[in-house]
Amino acid sequence: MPIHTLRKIDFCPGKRVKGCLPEGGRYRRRMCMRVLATFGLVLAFLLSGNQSMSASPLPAQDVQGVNVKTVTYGSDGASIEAFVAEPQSSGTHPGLLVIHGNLGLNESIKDVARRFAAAGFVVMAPDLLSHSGGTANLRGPENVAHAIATLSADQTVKDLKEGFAFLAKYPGVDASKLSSIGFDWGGGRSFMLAGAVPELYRAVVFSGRTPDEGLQDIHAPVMANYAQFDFRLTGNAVETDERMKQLGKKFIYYVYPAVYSGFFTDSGAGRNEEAAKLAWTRTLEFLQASQ
Amino acid sequence: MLLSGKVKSAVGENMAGVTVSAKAEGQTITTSVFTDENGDYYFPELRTGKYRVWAQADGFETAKGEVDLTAVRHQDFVLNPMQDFAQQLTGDQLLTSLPDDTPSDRRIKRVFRNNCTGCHQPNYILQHRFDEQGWTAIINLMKHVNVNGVYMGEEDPGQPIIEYHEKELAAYLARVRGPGPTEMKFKLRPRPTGDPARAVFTEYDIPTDPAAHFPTEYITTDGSDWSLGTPSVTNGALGVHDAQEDLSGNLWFTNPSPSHDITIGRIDTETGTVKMFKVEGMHGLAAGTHGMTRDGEGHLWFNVGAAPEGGPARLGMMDPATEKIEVYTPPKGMHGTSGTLDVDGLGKVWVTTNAGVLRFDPKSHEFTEFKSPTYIDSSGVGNTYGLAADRDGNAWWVEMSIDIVASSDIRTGQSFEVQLPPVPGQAELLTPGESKMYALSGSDWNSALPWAQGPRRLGADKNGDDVWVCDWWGGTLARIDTHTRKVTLIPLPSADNQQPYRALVDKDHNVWINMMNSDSVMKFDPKTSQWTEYPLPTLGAETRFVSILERKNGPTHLILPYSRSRKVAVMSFRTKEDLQSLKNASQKQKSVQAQLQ
Repeated sequence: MPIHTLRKIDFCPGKRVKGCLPEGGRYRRRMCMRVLATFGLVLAFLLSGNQSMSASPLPAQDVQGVNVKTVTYGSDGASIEAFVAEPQSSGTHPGLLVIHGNLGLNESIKDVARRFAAAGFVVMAPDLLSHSGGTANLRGPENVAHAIATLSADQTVKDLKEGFAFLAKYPGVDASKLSSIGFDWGGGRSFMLAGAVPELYRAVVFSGRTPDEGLQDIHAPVMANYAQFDFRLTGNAVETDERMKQLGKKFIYYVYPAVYSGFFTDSGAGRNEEAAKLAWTRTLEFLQASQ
Repeated sequence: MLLSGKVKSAVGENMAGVTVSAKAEGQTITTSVFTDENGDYYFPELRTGKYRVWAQADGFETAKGEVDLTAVRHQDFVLNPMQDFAQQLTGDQLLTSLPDDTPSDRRIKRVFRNNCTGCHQPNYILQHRFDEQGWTAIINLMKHVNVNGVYMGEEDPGQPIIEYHEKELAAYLARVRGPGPTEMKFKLRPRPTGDPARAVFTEYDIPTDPAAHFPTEYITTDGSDWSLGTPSVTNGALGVHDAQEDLSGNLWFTNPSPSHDITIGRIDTETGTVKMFKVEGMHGLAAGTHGMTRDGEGHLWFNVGAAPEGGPARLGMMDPATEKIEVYTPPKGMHGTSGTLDVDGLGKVWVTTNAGVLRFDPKSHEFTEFKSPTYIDSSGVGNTYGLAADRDGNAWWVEMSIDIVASSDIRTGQSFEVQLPPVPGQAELLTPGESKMYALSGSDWNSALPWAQGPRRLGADKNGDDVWVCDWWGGTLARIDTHTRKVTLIPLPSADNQQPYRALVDKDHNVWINMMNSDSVMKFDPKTSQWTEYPLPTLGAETRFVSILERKNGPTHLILPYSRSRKVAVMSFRTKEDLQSLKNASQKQKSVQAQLQ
């Protein structure tokens, strides 16, 4: 989708709905203006036409200077398999725990991991279905989604905490800058992990559910990226923002206009290149920020 | 046999507009009438037998009697005042009674109305009292329940509008329906007079789904005694959505609930006997259905779920004469059918899909698809629901969550749309946080923005050029000119408290609306702009559809499926002369009996 198309995508999409203002709809225009003000930064970037960024994720063959391998670590008596992507350059690097969505540890998530490794992170993406035999062995997205639905929140957070501990000791990882990022189902787990691991540096949530409890225990700044057309989830962003602010927590969220929740990781029809680029830039800046 | 009587209050005043019902022992058919201005009621001819008879009015205890109708009978009632009558009130009366004197209360009342009254009636919720903790538990559960009544689990983020207002809503409900003194100011609707008081309702009980193993064959608390509150799906009060009367006078209904055996059902109106019909569906279940319409030849058309091997949802046709069902599958590349159907003036059958509508030619068996121009926008996902087909051969359908009415142009194959204007006066009440939240939440099935109109189901004037759309959240009736697409909004008499569901238009251009949350039927006469309300004899009927059978030389019937009390009702009309004839016949028979004695 070219940039000029995105110029039209705001909270009152003009092309298909014939403008903000229905007959007699004074309020709708006011609402649009409020929303535009709220998300001015989003639009400002879209309108800037910054096309130098490459979209994330990138296929394996397009990523340079990254080594990948599979590792295992223990959790609750089980062996958790994880995909690791790390820079070939020497020295210490910030760490990043990538948490998959309800499609499991698939190629799309591995691509995300490679992309962040190319940006200088030591990345580990645990397969949280390891208890059920692993994503690859479940044969098909329906089976994977069904298996994901059976995972308890406690178990997955426990597995992620062990993953955090494993990655903190991984060679070349700066344990003081170890963050998490999760997508959809994994986005909610990234939010949960922030409350479970005080040492977490930063947490990024893509279209993830906000936990009912545990926000008061969060130390890390949290950044959330929501898709506008993921109404049921995105509609809760304001309440999350208010809850986090009331607790004195650092929270920032962005809503990407006229896209669905798979805009970043989806390799199919749900993907939106421009929104993915913008989210990638913001996420990278957030994870790399010193404060 | 004729049954009549008089209803008085405890202080001896004649009571007009009292609902009087009679049901024969061991039978499944209930007949109801209303008292006239003198407090007298007259049933139409009833069969011989032993009857339970009961009389009720809002604010009074239900009075009960038994008559052995072997001869003409006279059964009088005295109604005693009821102390706590909240449980017997209809949803609109309870909504009217909710406090809204302050901007804050008006705002949260709208949240309640627009998020808690789409799947069930306000009185289902408000019939019981809970403290704030109790209301919180209920809201906390309901925010995770979708439009199909399915709890979506812990991973569900929760319906945003309810999530955002959870604490405030629980506090408000505890104020109005908590353990302490209520802040509700009960405002009872007037009892019927005139035409509505001359109506006759015949209600047919439908047995619960045998395979579902509910505790009783017929639901027990079925809304017939208002003082017991509204029925509940937990007792089996579900599984009836649309209904039609066939040209032989029997009733047919659709079943939207999962079932092993029931796709549609037929009620023999002579005996009350119910016969179930099954179209094979997926997973060994009967294919589900929702909408039903009748064509000019008397065939009944309904949407029907996917075949056992999968694929798109289909179109079904029942010929009542042969009781055979034909099923038609949309071709590859077209959407499957969803829940609403109508027949246009050219004889084509229209059915909704998730993304628009399909037109089916009963002669060539050809499907044609028309897609909604807008299906998703910043206000939410369209959610195609109601449909009406006009006399010119075009269809009109609604995207309920985004306030859009779309239409076909069969000459060009294109679709058009009109946007309904928002409900005024709601935006000014919002807090800044709410404004931001609503901008992101949009509307969803049965959870709506405060200014949403919520076009739900509609009807076309088959003898005119208007389509009438029921705006569920806005409390308005949208009149759309089928040629100019001009929209005129007509508010209901109590737009903030009344919620119209489906409109149909009779041969005289009157618009009839089933008021799901009021347990009533409204008539709007476009010539005089007059509204007339016909109350139903059942509390918690939860009517989601109304259909009509107009005969050239016979009575006109309105057919009302009761989705929450598992009945189908037929409403018929009596003139003053009809009633006078009954009075005369009753008095004549009484005098004959007196002479014989």
